[in-house]
Amino acid sequence: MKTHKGIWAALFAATAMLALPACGVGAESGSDSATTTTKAGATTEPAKPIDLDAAIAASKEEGKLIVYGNPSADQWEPVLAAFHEAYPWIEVETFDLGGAEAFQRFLTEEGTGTNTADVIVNTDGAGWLDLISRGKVVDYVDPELADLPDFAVAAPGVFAMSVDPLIAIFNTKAVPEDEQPETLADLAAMSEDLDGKIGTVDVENGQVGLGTYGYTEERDDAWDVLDEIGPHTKVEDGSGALLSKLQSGEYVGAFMASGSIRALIDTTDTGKVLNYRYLTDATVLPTRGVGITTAAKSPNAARVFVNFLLSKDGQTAGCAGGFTPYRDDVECDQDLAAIEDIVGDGNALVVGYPEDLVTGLPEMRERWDEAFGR
Amino acid sequence: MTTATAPVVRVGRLRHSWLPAWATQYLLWAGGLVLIVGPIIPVVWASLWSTPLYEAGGAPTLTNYQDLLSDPAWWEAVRNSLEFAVLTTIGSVVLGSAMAVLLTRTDLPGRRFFRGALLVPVIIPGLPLLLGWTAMYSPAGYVTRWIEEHTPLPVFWDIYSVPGMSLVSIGIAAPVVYLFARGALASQDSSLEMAARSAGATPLRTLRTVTLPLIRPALLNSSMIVFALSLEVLGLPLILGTSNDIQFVSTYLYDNWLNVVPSRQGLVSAGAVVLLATVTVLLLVRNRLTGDVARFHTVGGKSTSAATVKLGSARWPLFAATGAYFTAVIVIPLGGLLLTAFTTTLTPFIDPWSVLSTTHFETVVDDPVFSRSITNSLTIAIVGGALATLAIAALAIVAHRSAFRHRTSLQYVMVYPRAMPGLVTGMAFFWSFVILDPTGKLRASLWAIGIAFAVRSLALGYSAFYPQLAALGEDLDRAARTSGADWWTSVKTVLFKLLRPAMAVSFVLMFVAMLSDYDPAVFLVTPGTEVMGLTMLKLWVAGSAGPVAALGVIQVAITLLVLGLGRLLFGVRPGA
Repeated sequence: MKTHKGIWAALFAATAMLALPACGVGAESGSDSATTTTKAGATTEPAKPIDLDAAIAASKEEGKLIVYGNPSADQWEPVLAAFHEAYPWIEVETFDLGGAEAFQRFLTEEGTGTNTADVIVNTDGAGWLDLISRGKVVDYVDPELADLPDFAVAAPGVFAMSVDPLIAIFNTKAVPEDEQPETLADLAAMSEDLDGKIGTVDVENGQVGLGTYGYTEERDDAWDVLDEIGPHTKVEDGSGALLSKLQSGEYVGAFMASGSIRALIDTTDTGKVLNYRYLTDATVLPTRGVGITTAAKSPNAARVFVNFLLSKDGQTAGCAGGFTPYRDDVECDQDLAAIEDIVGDGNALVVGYPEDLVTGLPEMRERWDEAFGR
Repeated sequence: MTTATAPVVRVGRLRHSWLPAWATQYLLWAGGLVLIVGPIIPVVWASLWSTPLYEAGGAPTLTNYQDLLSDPAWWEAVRNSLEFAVLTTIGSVVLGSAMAVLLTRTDLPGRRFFRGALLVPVIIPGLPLLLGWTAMYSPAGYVTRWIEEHTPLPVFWDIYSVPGMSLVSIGIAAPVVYLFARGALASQDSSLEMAARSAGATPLRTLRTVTLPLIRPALLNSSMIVFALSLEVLGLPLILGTSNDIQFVSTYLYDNWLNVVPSRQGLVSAGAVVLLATVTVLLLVRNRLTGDVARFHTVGGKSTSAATVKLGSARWPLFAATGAYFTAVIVIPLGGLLLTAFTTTLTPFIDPWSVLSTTHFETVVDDPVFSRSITNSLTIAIVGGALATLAIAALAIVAHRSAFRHRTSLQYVMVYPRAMPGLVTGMAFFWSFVILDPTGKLRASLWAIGIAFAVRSLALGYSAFYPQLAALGEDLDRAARTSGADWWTSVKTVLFKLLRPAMAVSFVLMFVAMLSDYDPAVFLVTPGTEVMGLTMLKLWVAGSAGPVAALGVIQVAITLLVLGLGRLLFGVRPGA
């Protein structure tokens, strides 16, 4: 699985569009190249926000809204409850389907003309860009974008629902809190002594791949650090194996782990042996994107739903579900501002889906495999 | 212990089936083809097409095969998979058949208990069982640590290596081999062994020269199915092999399917076709090695019950060895599973007894999606398992006991679905359902997943069924034919009745497999039709081992309950 350059090159050529790097890695400004597609038909005028009131009115005539998303049912719960309160006539059916499976299933269902997702929530940036290049994502401007940072538009038509961090986890019985490194570089320096006792997740994982891509793009010393830590690190397929081995003490520390593990550490006995921290040089926040598909049967309800996810109410409800909100006007213990307070200004690296990702991600994966001896 | 006097064909009430034999056979054959071969067509098509199925356009091509066969990573994966499959097959066939002989034909102390306990690894779903193994035998596991700290013994295993993974796998596969071999042994006519004994052979020599050769179809058959299953197994290398960068064929295909954008559907389909070809070769080899099936007819018109071999002075040493094996492979991993399920967090740093709780069970039962997945899986496993067992019986009889001209094709198609990676099977079923039922009603119902799971598990049920069918002398069904029964009536009145124990084993295997299958469901599941295997996977991906183990324990409890009920209601005793 090391190289698929031919495919990537072809894809890149097919999707050559303007990337406008702004704040964060490759985040795009919401009001530039986007064009508006509403139910009334496509227009080519420069970006104008859609008429939300019209969408709300039209949504009353539509059926159930189907969402394929990577959040689990309990993460969705507070968000859906708040949405239901605001728009009681829209019935939302969320379906726990993440990663590449979600895109593949959508493409297959769309290809056969059967019922499929109106809205997709996914963190796999490369998958999103592939979907965009196939012309399956509705590109439009949401009115909320005016109040949001530029990185809220991760790619044309894909908005940041949340920016969830990758974290470091330590076994406190093996490495007490006061001995834990504060940066990935420090962990790398310790790695020779901890040979084989550090774990991480394979960059083939969409979220981790995207985060690592952001880290290597943003930090000049990233590859030096990864080259140093790689030979002493074991790679896992996902959170399950990583967490089990951290608990058993087989691993004493892990980096680039999914932020969703925080809830397990904060709220269960797992916290008796594990703690997590945001490494100041390697806290990356891959964007969890939300977009509307061209196959949507409830396109207006979909717009209302996405608008809600981006709104203050939606982001506040998201906080309760364990997501990482990024709006300035949302109070949340684990939001972007809170993380930035810990790691320092400018050190919370939000990673969007820049066009470079199409070629950059496979290159990064190959280089990473080299560093980790795989 | 088969006394083949059961089928009394009452001539006076004999009724002919309303369809001629060839029509019944054609119907069964056609039904089998639609459900089993139907989903293979999209896979073969995708492997020969330049674009994914969902994309318009494209042209026929062989590039997918070229890409696959020229990828060094593929060959590396093939090497690992072969090593794993060979080790697993040899280990489980040797252990499984030894257990079958020891536990059914000798006076080993405690054999009754062992016979029941041996089923335990079969009924624990894969993922929770792996949790049990890792909790105990991983480098930081309880057993490993204990041996390192308290004994001078070396820790010779590494469950993250290929041989280590096959040790785990043998623990699961050996009981399956045992089930297949036991059926053949139990139906054996002791008069054959008696003949050897009266000619002066010792009990052991009889065992070696008469008993074991007679169960050759069962052994060949279980070797084949264990080998095929080992090539397809995904969860094991994904969880145990990743940290050492060990790729199997299954993980290689999985990665190219899910971790590459855009997904390499053509290449993965080509890989699936290569696996199908491999299984075809395995079946050809099995049939060639089995040779003339009539040699293995052990159930004739007259029979006596099987005699017990006296172990003599070897009795207690063999008991100790069997006990040690059971402790290491069944009791300890089961303990690991229970500990994971009943503690809030399982870690050597905290005394497990201080964190005992039923939290994980509450999590599972309180969540509507989780509890719905339990009911759904149970429905699929019971209804689907029963229907599939009947289908297997009918298809196997057509395949091996009829003059039907396409009969041999059925042997192959029954094993094919299991040879394809589960994710690909799901995709393939999606396509065939879309074509068969454009309204989408079928896909939105539990039937869709049920059919996919059933077809995928046919190989297991068929493998349990085939050796016992091979052991039935044809004079029995001929006797019915002589009395005036037509083909279908003789099948119904003689074969089905004599094969009830085989059907029971087949049902148990299908039930368990369908209860814990997951990967074909990724493509087929809809809100409301969640299944347990998928729920476990989602929980595991999110990092929660506890609820996964709890679901595993619930599943074992349900399975035991179903087996117990089956025994009460139908007198079916798969464990005895």
